[in-house]
Amino acid sequence: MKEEIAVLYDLREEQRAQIKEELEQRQITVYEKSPETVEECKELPYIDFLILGDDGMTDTDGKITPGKTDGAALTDRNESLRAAAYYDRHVINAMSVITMLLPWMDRGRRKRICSLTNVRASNNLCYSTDRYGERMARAARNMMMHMLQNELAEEGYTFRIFCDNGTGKNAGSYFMRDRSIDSCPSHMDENRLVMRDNQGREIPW
Amino acid sequence: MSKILITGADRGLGRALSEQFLQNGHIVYAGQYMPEWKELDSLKSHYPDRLFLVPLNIGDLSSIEKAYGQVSEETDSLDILIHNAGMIGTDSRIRESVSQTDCGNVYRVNALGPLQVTQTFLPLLSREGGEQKVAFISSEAGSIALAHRRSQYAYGMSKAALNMEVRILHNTLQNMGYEFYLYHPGWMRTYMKGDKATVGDMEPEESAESAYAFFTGEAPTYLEMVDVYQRAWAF
Repeated sequence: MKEEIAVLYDLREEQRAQIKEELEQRQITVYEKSPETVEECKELPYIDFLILGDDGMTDTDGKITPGKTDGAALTDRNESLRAAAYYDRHVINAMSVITMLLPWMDRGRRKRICSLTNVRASNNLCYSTDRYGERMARAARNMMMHMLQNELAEEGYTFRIFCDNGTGKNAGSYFMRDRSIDSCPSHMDENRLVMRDNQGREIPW
Repeated sequence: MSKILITGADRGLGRALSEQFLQNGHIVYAGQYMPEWKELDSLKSHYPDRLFLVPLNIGDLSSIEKAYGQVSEETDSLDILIHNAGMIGTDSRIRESVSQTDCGNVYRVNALGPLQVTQTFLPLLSREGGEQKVAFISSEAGSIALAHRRSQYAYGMSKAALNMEVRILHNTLQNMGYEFYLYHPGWMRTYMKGDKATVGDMEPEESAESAYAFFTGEAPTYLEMVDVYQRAWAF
């Protein structure tokens, strides 16, 4: 059987080893790439799995505090600058990597694009008052994944979004698991994009 | 009589909203991005005492601050802030290489612009007795659950981000009396792609009428995105 190849792109340090281990247990050859080294993927014969990480997303809390008495001054003006940087890295860079590597994925057998995120990507479960930039970028990337599915599913591409708890545990096995593309219970339908956590729970958008 | 700031009021829905509020006796501060476009001047001639034109590019922080300076000289309070300005970007698909520049520009206008405008103008909205309403023109294109598009990545992603932003603003400010409105205006025959669209479900005036009823009606008890037909949309 042909060797299966996975590219891990822009994963955080604490996730990398765990996810790599879970993939290698399934005899998948893993290449780890950063924004600086991703061009090297062009030397691969094909790519089966492209796993997009979320490195660099958790450095600041981005809280914008309203004034206590006069309602004035959402104070942290830098949050919008951070938000732009988060978006550039988490969304635009990821999209440009997908665009660049699509010809290699076309030649792969599995054609699966995976996104690592966390529960802060969920609008419905957001009770917080902080991390504007991070949460907005994560929501935007979920939309990107959904639109990619709309566009590429008919070519045989499949998609996974995983809400990590910071350890990477169960992410690799979730990314590898196949689902039916025939009619079957909706939560197991390959045609329906969902976001799950490491307990397998579906996280609402 | 309420005081309303509307961004992107030059034409389309923004202009229609301005007219709607003016017809109902309110005072409008109309954010003007395209001074060469004369529709607002025409409106100004009908309502010289209640329409104030405010040069405003929401993609430029210095322009936002300048606009704040102008509005705060005219008034010490606003009742409603309506984030209408936006852009749609290109139609390209992933295999056509979606433009990074386009994605960045659309995000900065559609998602970060409203955040910066809200931050800047909040002091005027916080005056005692004010309505403290902040309204956002979003789109079904921002609904991740119902996403159906295969192109316009920049637009869809920016609107999904905007919805998240409004969620956090709502979490932050609702307990201080602020009310948040997310509105999907429907498919209008507007100028989103430059020229006036010849296809669409409705004219912007029809959507503005529904938006007016939503923004001035009963306060929502929780955050939801409501469309022109008053239907709620999933996030």
